[in-house]
Amino acid sequence: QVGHGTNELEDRLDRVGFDAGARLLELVSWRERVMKRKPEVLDMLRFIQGTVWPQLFGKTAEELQQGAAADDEYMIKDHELLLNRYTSLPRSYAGFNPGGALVAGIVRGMMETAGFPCLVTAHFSDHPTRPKPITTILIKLDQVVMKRQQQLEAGRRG
Amino acid sequence: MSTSVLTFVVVGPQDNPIYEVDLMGPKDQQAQYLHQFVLHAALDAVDEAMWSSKELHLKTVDRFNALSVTAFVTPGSARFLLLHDGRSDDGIRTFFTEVYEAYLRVFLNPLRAPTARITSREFDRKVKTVSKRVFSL
Repeated sequence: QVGHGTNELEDRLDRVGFDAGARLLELVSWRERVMKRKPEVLDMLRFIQGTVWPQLFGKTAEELQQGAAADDEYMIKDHELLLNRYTSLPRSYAGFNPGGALVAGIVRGMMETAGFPCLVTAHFSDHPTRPKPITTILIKLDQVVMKRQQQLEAGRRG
Repeated sequence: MSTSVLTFVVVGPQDNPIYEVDLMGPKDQQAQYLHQFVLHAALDAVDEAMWSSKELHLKTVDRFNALSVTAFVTPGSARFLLLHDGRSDDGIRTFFTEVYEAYLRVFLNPLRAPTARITSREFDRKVKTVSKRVFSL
């Protein structure tokens, strides 16, 4: 389990990331060849995994999955988060993912300003074939988003 | 005083107006209130339209008598609204696209809160210059 004081640290990293994410969304969108908005949740998540990640880290995020148990949860997985490469933690902070916490804030900043309120957290998780744990960014979408998605889909079927 | 209407408003991602300008010059208080009211009422129409379109340009979203409200939404949910009495779609598109670039520069400033009113004189100047050119004022 993470040690003392990490919650406050996570909050501060989240706030810094949020402000960066809000600006990144507009900037990365501007740099796209054809500018479109992404009213659908999955389009937005793919944009983050496939367009924003390369701009930030030089590669796409390795995995994008929907939560197994919940359809309002999505996970973006980075097998080796660049921001953690040169960070080291004291023993009492074991389990804390500092680069992940900042990236979680960035993702939340992008999702919220695009109109998808959500909670975003970062975790270390084990990977079956990789020696070191990977970073999982967990995105829990607000009910507002789920309702709107349902309405949009119903509108299309109707 | 001109009777033609051309008012431009930027609404931030948290639904507060962060920039307003009357491109036809100052007008009487009654007209000011009416324009503010019409623009505010049009926000609901914009919020609905923005979820069924992937485009940034939403075209005309609402009308009131002879006045139209045309909208543009950025990927970060900032909304540009133009209140007018019948301007060409193409001209409005050009106006929004050029103002968007100026908005981006203001927005990227890390020392400015995203919900703060836009006080940049450069932005104000750019908006007025573009509108004079595009709308032949």
